[in-house]
Amino acid sequence: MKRLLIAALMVFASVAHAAAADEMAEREARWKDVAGNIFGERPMQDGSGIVKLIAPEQTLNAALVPITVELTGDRHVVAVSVVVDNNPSPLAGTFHLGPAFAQQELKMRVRVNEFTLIHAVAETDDGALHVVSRYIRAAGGCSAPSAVASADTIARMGKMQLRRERSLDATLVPAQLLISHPNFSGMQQNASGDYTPARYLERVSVSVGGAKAFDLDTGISLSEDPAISFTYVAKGSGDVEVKAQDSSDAKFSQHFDALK
Amino acid sequence: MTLPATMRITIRACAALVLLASASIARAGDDAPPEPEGYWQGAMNGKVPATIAGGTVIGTAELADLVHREHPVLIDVFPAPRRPEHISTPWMPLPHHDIPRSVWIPGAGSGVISGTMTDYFHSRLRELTGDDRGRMLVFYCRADCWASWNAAKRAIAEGYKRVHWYPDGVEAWQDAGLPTQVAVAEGPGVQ
Repeated sequence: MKRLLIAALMVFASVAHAAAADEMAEREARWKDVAGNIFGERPMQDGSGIVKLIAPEQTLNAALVPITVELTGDRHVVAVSVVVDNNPSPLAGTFHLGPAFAQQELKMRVRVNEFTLIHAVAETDDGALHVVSRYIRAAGGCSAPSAVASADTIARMGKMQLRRERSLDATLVPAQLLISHPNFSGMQQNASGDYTPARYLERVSVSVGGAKAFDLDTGISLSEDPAISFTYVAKGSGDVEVKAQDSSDAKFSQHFDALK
Repeated sequence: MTLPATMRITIRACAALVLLASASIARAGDDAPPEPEGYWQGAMNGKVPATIAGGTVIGTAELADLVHREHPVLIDVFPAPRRPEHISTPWMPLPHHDIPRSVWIPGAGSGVISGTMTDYFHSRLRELTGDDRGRMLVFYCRADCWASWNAAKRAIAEGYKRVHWYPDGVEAWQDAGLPTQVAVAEGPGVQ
């Protein structure tokens, strides 16, 4: 019986081991495909030391997975992309950063459709790409019914808030931008079982006193009611101006007092 | 690597034992919610019940055995990605893999299904079973997926007598080293 058990365990271990090796190879192949599609053939370096990706390993709500990208080095980063490899539309967003963006961190929430690697890719000012990744166990985020869709969804669409915090340096303002938008993925069903057509934010631009903080190109992998945290540089007077455009060509904009 | 025949049999038996053990562990979750009254209306992904009234819950080893002995009708209700009419980011859905000889009907397990889907689902069940309510049916999607529970419940309500529900889903099937096929979706849930 003992030999039997040992044999069983060995078989189980080898099946599990082979499956794990296959899975790693599959993940790598998928990333190669996805990265090729988004970044072309540009080479990528290990991004540890330049960028850090923080995401929960497991979550109950795959439609709202919090992601933090920290810029940890002293290299000047000009763009940050977040990629959810196994989503049907993997690119959650690319932030093109400007002089009003304080090189600290970015936070957002994304939809995760299947267990997946998430990659953060930072582009430094010399044009090099730096990548880090994490594996996350969440599924069903793209088709999860909207938690916000209701009769007044359309009326609220595009309304924005900018929550500002105090920091020791008054010219650096940590902020959270909230945009009311269902960001319909096209895979969500309504109460009669029909699919709600996709309607999502394509671009969000933030500037401070006329200087760019970031332009974000995004899509259906960004969660509904997008919430983006970042720190901006407030020099002198000038408003924070936020402009957004969705896939139905609706345009939204709002101004906020930069130093309030 | 070649092994003596007795050893091979022993290994197979043990692998089955291990599978059975892990399957029953997976299904005996203490935090399994009770069965809802009607169809589940919340997010498709989440903790599922340990039971289905009027049907039988099965694990990977039982399903592997049934597939060989009984050739049940296998129905996969994994939700399919839908391409937005207009899309600004690259569209590259992962190919979906399921159990060989399955029929993939995405959307048949949603909380509410349209009239078109209801008609399609019922007529497809009649076709696949040869209009035999005693024919064995197996519903599945992925792990922690309510869609297969809902679809199995719909078949039970239609009077099918041998409805099986495989909650561990295609991931558990794959993890056990069992073969899969690239699935082709059918029905009104396909764009």
